[in-house]
Amino acid sequence: MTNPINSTMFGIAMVIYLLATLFYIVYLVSKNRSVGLVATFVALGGWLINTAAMGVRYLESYKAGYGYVPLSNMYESMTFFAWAIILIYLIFEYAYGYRSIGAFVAPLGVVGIALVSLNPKISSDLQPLVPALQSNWLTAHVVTCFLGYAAFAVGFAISIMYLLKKRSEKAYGNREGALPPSKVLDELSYKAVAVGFPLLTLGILTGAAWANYACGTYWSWDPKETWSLITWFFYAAYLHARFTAGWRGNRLAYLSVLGFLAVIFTYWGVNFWLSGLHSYAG
Amino acid sequence: MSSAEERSKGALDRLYEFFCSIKLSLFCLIALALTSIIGTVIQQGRDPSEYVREYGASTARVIAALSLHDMYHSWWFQVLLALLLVNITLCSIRRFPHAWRLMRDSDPIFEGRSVAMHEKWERTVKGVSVEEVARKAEALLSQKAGKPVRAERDGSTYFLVSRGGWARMGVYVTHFSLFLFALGAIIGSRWGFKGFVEVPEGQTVNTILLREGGVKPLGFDVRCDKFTLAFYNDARGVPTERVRAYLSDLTVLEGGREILRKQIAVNTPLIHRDIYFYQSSYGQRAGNGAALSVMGPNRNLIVYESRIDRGGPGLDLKDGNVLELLDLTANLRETGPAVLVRVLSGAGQPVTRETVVAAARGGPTPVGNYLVALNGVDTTMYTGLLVAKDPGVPVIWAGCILISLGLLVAFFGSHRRIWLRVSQESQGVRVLLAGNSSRNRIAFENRFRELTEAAGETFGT
Repeated sequence: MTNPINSTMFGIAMVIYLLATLFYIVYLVSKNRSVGLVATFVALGGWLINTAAMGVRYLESYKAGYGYVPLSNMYESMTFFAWAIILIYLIFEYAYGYRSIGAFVAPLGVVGIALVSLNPKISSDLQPLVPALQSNWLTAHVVTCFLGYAAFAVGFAISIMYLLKKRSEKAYGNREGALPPSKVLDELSYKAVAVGFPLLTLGILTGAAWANYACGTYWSWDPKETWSLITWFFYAAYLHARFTAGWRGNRLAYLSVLGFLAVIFTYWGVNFWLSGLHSYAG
Repeated sequence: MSSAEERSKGALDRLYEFFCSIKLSLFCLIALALTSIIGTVIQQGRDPSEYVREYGASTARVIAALSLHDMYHSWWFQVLLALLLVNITLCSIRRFPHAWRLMRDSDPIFEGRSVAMHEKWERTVKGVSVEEVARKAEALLSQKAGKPVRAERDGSTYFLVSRGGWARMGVYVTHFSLFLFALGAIIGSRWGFKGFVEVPEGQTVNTILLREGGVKPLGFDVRCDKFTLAFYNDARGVPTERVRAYLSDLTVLEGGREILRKQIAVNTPLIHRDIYFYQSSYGQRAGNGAALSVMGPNRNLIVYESRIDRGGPGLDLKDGNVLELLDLTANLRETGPAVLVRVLSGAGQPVTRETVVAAARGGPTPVGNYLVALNGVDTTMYTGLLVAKDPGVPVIWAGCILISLGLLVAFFGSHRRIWLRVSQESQGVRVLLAGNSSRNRIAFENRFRELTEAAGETFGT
């Protein structure tokens, strides 16, 4: 069967994100403003194609006779995840202007699509929805969860930058380097978590509401539900550590990294390593 | 106060400090996160024998002792949750009065009070009176920031514009909603129930099997009129093997009268008297009759593929005896259809024992002097319904709405205050502009800068 248009478009978006990564890395090293501008436009271009790909997939599902919003399996959710990461990053870039972050976030967009496009075990075929997924709650739940995950991914990238910067500051002092000042990175990683946390909360709530109408209860301590709560606890700890306990610095950055590892496990680990009724996301 | 009293008061204070501390909050959150991981690795709610099989006898004993097989309902997990809620309560009680005061503060006079002013701007204006400058200041503030509150003291005039004070409440609303979740969960577990019932097509039930055991009467009847498996069609309109929907046509009856009719599917349950009926499973079950063939002792065919009902008049065996169908099943221990039969004399006396005739046997089964073969059993579809009632759900919904609003306000709302003081100094009239925002400093800095630029133009030099 020939490759449907939508998966070709996702592949193109992935390659453009890779191009954007290269431009961002060149910007990181050279600080050349024009290079930075090109990087932003390339990333935006990739994001527009990513958006169009999702729209085309939606239309193709209608043509096949069983239209649905393309958020129902691993392929669709990962390509949406990549889309959301780049979107949130571009908003951050527009608001705060630190293009060097692009060098660390754009690769996440590449990896997001690559993991499902290049993996023979993950199908990009359009499949009609199984009865359990035929619900409007699916859209609300998946969109809020993945926007939240995407914000946490941006926060994770910034925390990594923070840890690297701290190490260089310790070795070489507060010199003007490739990375923004650690204080700025600290503030920005907080802002990313501040966006992600309400979104993840909404994601958990919409999941619970959906379960209430489909599975007999709003909460059953299913591994997927529990891991989303674990992620929520970690980021709640992050916010309170920063706001109320006055944590700054490496400790806080590690907490942000741990939180994102919990996100990864919630998304992938539960499906592939644990058993439970949520494995249909695969 | 004696030293003993001081010591006990000191100990009580320390205890209070401990339960109020943010360190305890962080401990609880991280402990809840890490312990919850255990329950996702060790499968919850399984039969004890499964843990022995999976982990060995001694580890299984440890698991049982620590309630790790049902850890989210264990005493220690509930204690952790309760500890966090106590901590939140005490922290909120301690911090709320100050937040409330800040929100309600409308006193423009800031001298003698500790007020944190992030932004400051000053200008001395010559050749004008305090009254004149104050008038201009009030107009400027009204235009650029909002209608100010005015106060005068010692010849100086003070203004205060305070906006978005309600943003300080976001945190308390968010935390309060967690209590609603706890309350909803408690109500649900105490007054709710969960169970299951299989309803064959055409039949009516009025009780369900509870998950923890036992039978619960519903108080009304539920009848399954029809169960349908709907399949997706391919591009040519030919049905595929992919299931599109599981549909049950249900009717609710009270006192024999039809109250409600609904076709339910997986995501659309039937709700009656706050009891939810979810489409959960389905299956095939033996119906009410079977088709049998009977041969006599001389292998002569007596009856060929005749259908009889369970518990009805039996098969006439043409020699005065009757073959009675006592029971039937669509699946006998995973081997296929089977029936339970017995031969009775014309007078109703048993001639043979109750005998199982199974299709899996391959050939006819001897029943007394006869040979009986099972040709088939009637099957009927049944729908498996998950039945649940949870009176705590409205409280949970309230919690959901409150936490969403609370987070929205806490993260995106900001309490912004602008003070302006006009005072007489030796060189002229001094104008002091100051500002404070509880959140989103960068945006506030920009707005404050716009205000000071306008102030510079208004007051000149």
